[in-house]
Amino acid sequence: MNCEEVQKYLSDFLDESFDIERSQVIADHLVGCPRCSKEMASLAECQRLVSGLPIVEPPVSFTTRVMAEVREAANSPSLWERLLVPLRIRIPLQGTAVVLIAVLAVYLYQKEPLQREAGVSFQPESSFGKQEETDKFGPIDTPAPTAPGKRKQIGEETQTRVQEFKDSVQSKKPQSPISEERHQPAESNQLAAPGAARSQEQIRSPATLSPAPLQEKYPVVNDPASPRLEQFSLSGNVPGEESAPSVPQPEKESASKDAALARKSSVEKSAVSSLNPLSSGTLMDAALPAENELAIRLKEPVRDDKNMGERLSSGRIQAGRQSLALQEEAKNIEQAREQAVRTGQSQTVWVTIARNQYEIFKQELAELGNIEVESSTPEPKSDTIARLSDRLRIKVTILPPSSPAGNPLPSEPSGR
Amino acid sequence: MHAEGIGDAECVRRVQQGDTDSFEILVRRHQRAIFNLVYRLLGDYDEAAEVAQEVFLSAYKSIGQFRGEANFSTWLYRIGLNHASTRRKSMNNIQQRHVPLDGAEVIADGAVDPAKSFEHKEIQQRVQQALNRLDPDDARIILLRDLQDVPYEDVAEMLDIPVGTVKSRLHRARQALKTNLAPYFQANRKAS
Repeated sequence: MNCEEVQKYLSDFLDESFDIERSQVIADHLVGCPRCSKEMASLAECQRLVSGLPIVEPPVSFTTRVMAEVREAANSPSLWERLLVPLRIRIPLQGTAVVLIAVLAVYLYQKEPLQREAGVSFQPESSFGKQEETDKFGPIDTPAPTAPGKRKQIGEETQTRVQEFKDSVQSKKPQSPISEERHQPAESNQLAAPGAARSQEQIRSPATLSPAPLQEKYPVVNDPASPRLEQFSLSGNVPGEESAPSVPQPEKESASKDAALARKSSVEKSAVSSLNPLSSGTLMDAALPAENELAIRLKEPVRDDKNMGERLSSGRIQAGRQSLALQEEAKNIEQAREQAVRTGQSQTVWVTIARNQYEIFKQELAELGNIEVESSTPEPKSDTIARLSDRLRIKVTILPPSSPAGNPLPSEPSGR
Repeated sequence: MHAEGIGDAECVRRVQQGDTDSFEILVRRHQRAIFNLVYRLLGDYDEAAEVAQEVFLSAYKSIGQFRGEANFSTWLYRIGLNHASTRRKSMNNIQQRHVPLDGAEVIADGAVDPAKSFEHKEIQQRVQQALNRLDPDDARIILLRDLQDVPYEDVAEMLDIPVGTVKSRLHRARQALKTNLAPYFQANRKAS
C-alpha cells in the first residue's frame, strides 16, 4: 500500500473503523513513512481539537421557555382548527339560509301550478258549477306568469265580467219563447236560456267538447255545434276572427284546414293556448256570440230542386263573400229542411255565422220559405261582448209547409 | 420530574397521547446535545438558544408523525440540523463572525490556571472560526462524528446518505478543517 492509498484511509484508521489486518498494514506504513505519519498527526490533532471543544450549557430558563411555548401550542388550535372555527360559525348560518331559500323556492314552485289551475277553472266552475266537466280539461298554461297580486286583480275583473254575462243571459230568458214552448218542462231549466247553455259548453273548451250532450238537449237532426266547435279548435282562432269577411279565399281556408288537420295535436294546443286568455276572464265571452232566432215556414211545394247549399254555394261564387262556414251551415239547414218535409215536424238548427253575413244568410233562407219569426237579443253592453259580437248565433226553426196537420207556429217573438 | 427512567419511546408515546408534560423529559434529556450542536454550527450563543428552542417546538408539533422507526434522538438531531442549516444560510458573514470568549460558556475541562484557561479559550475560538469557514455539510459531519461521537450509521441516517459516503465526506471535511487550522499548527510548531 503506497502513501496515496494510506492517506486515503487515514480518517478511517483514526476512527478505528478498519478491520485489524488493514489497520495493521496502515500502522506499519505510518511507522516507516514520516510524511504519512505527519498527515496522520494533523488529522488526529484536528479531531482532538473538535472533540475538545467545551460543552456549552444552554440558558438556564431554556426548558421553561420551551415548555411554555409547547403548552401554548398544545392549547392553541391547529391550522385546520383555525380555518374551520370561522366555518363552524358560518356553516350553520349560511346552510340554514340556503335550506330556507330552497324550501321557499320549492313551495312557490309547487304553488304556482295550483294558482294557474285555479285561475283557469274558477271562473266557469264558480259561474256554472260544472266541476266534474272542467276538471278533465286540466290546467291551461298562461302565456306569461302573472304576479299573484295582479292575478288576483284579473280574477276579480273576470268575475265581474262573468257576472255581467250571467245577468245578460238571465235577462234574455223571457226573450226565448221558442225554447220554452218547444221542449219538455223537465228540460226547461236548461233550455230556458239556450244561449247560456251553449255558452257553458263553449266556455269550458270548445276544442274538446263532444256533440253528444247537445244532441240530447236539442232534438235536431243536424247540430251545427260540433262542426262549428271543431272548426274553432282547428283554426285556433277566436270565432270572430275566423269568420271575418276579410278572409274569403276558399283555397286558402282549405289549405289551412288541411294543414291544421295534419298538425292536429299542435293545432289543438294552439287552440287551447288561443283560448288561454279566456281563462282569465278577459276573453272568456269570446265564445259567446250574439243570438238571433229565425222561424221559417217552408214553401209548399218546394219548386227549386237545388238545395240551399248549392244555392248558397252559387251565391257565394257570385258574390264572393260567403265563407266556408256559411256553406257548412247551409248544408245543415238543408238537411233540417228535408227532415221537416219528410216528418212534418219542425226542426231546429243552430247556426253561427259572421254578423255581416246575416242578411245574406236571411235572404238565402227566405228562398226556402217565409220567415215568420225573427227575433234578436239586445246588443251587449260589455265592451268584451261587443267586441266578440262579430259572430252571430242564430236559432233557426224550420217549420214544415202549411197544411191542415202542420205544426203550430212558435210563440210570437219580442224582437224585430 | 420523577420520570427520568422512562425511555424516549415511552415519552414520545405519552406525548402523542396528549401528555404534554412528558415532553419536558425529552427536552431536559436532549437539550444540551441539541444546543451544542446548533451552537457549534452557528457559532453564536443567542442564535443557538433561539434555534434550539425552535427545534424542540417543531419536534413537539411534529411528534404525531414520528413512528418510532428510528431513535428519537436521531429524529431530533435531524430537525436540529435542518433548522441550524437554514439559520446559518440566513446569517451574514458567519465565516468572519467573531466568537466571543465570555462567561456564557462553561468550560468542561475545569481549568483553573488563568493562563491556561485563556490559551484554551483562544484555541477554542480558532477551532470555532475554522468550523465557521467550513462548508455547512463538512461542518455538520465533523461535529456529529467528532464532537457528538455519533456512530457512522446514525450519521448516515441523519444526513440521509450511505455510510460509505459518510466516511469519504468525513475524510474530506477533516482535510478542510486541517487546512483552516494550518496557521494554528504552524504557530504551535514554532512555539514548541
